[in-house]
Amino acid sequence: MNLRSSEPFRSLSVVIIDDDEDHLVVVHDALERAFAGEQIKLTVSSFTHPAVGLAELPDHDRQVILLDYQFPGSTGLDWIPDFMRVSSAPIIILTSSGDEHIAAEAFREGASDYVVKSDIIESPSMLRRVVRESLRKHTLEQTNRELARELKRANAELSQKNERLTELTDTAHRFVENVAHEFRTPLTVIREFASIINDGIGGEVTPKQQEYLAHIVGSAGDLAELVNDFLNCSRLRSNLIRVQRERIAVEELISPIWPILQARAASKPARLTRTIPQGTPAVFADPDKAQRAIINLVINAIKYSTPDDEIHLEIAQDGPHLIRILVRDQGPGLPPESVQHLFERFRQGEPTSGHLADGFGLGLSIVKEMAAINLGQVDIESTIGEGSTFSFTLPRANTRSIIDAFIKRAKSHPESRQVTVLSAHACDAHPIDELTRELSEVAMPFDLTLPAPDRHHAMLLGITNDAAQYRARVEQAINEKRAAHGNPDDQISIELQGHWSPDHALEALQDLLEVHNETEETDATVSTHR
Amino acid sequence: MPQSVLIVDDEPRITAALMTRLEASGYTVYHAINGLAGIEAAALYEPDAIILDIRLPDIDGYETCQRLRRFPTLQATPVIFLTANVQDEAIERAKGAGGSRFITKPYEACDILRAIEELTSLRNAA
Repeated sequence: MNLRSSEPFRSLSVVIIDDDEDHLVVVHDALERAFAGEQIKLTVSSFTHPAVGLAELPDHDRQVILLDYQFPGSTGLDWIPDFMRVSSAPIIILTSSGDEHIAAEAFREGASDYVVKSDIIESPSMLRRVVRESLRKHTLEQTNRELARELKRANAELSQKNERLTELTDTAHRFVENVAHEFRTPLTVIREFASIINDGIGGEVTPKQQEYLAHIVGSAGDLAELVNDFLNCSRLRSNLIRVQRERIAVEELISPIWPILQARAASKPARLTRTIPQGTPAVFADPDKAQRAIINLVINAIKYSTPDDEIHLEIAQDGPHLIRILVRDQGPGLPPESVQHLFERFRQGEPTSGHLADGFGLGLSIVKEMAAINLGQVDIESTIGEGSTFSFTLPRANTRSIIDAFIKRAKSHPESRQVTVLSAHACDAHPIDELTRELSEVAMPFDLTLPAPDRHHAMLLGITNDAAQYRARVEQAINEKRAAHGNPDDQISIELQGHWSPDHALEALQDLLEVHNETEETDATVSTHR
Repeated sequence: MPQSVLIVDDEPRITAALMTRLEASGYTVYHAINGLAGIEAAALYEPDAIILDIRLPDIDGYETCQRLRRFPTLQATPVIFLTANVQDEAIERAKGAGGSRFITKPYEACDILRAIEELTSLRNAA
């Protein structure tokens, strides 16, 4: 960028256009006098008609045009646009005294300044000032224009890069989806035929052969889980994972996956047992994600068990707001420094930016992410020679416990972020659970959606650094989604209820959600959609 | 009379695995390697249940299912979608196209057998 305004200049070209030849001479003379004392090479070109001046305008990068006002049949102002088309030189209008009223019009047409001829003849220093001032203004304007152009260019470049980045993420994600799809077919064939043989459909099988077949089936199963883990990771990173948290009894969470876990343990063989105390309160979780975390923890425990070890799944209350799901193994255990190391790896950082499989397996990495999505945290305890216990928490299914877990999540964010609360209102009589569901569909995986206490609107809690931008994004996303589904008229308005630092959020949210300190099941306020 | 199942899948090994399993359980099994052949076979044999893949070389599983449902004789035939696609969107589309069940690969053989049993007995009861 060339910031010429501050530089002293060595040469100057002035173009005078006046139909009166006498005036040309006196103005020229005034110019000579005005710049006489300065080390400037002054070139003056004179023309008696604007058309000629326009055609023969000298080429000079520091040039000023002095343009008379009165011409036969036209005014200088009429010619300004023509001059501006061919040259960027500032134009100063020369007027006779009494014509000052044209000043405003001259500026509007694009003139840089105007002077009264008799004034400059009397005071060359005034002429010098006007010329210098016009040049300075002109240079500044040019600099501004250049800056604006550069800014525009930089912006365009940035949005192009952004687009490219989005495209790359999409491509990477599509690739993983395709690979996963391609893996599943051969995996199915391997597992299915091994189990067909094992079931004796092709003829009698010896016990030894059955044992070997169980290894094939088990390994194919491990590979299938790995494919699922890769898919989950990819979806998390592309923010494509859909989170549907609901109130669910722990028993209902475990029962559907228990046969799978039992079969997996049997292939080791290891004994898998469980303890779910009577009266264990319900949790607030996305069942798929919680089940994936449990499956991965049990598979991990099986991996480090020796035959006939016991693996124990245990459910325990952890303080007033949390339920802890623990998986104990009788494996070799880990030395304290490894526990510390693993613990840090396991706990630290923003879940979606953590490294994949960074030294401790994709499976555990997924546990961490799935726990985080359910507003929970992971923990490890281990003693050498006795075994390890991996666990994660889930919030209990009441509003107080849920917001407590949400704020804890906001606090663990590596950069300081604010807890931001939005409320969504639909124009028509929209069922509140429907509205809550729609809101959760446009939310990010870690956002939290809840019906408001009055059940007239829905609330969305996010962890952001720019509440206004967050509000705008959500509003745009939900209305775009509705328009795409053929509901363009029924717009949803999103209001910003407030934003607080995590340290101050609890009190504010308790007020907003009308929560008191009790932890009994206030489940009516928790959405139970699926 | 033994019950019959039609498999519409372009993966010969998957078809072989399914056929082995189903025949061992006493079913008569037909198979077709693309959507249009599947429709023809379904209209001809009127199977008790159909197992349908989504990715097929000609028309996809959704369309195959929609077209099947236009035959009065096939309107109530149980159609089990069997696919490696696990996205929610695929499940929704399968339902919308007239699918009765959705099972993902890798599948457990017992899930398929149970689904066929449940769906056919439901139909017979109706």
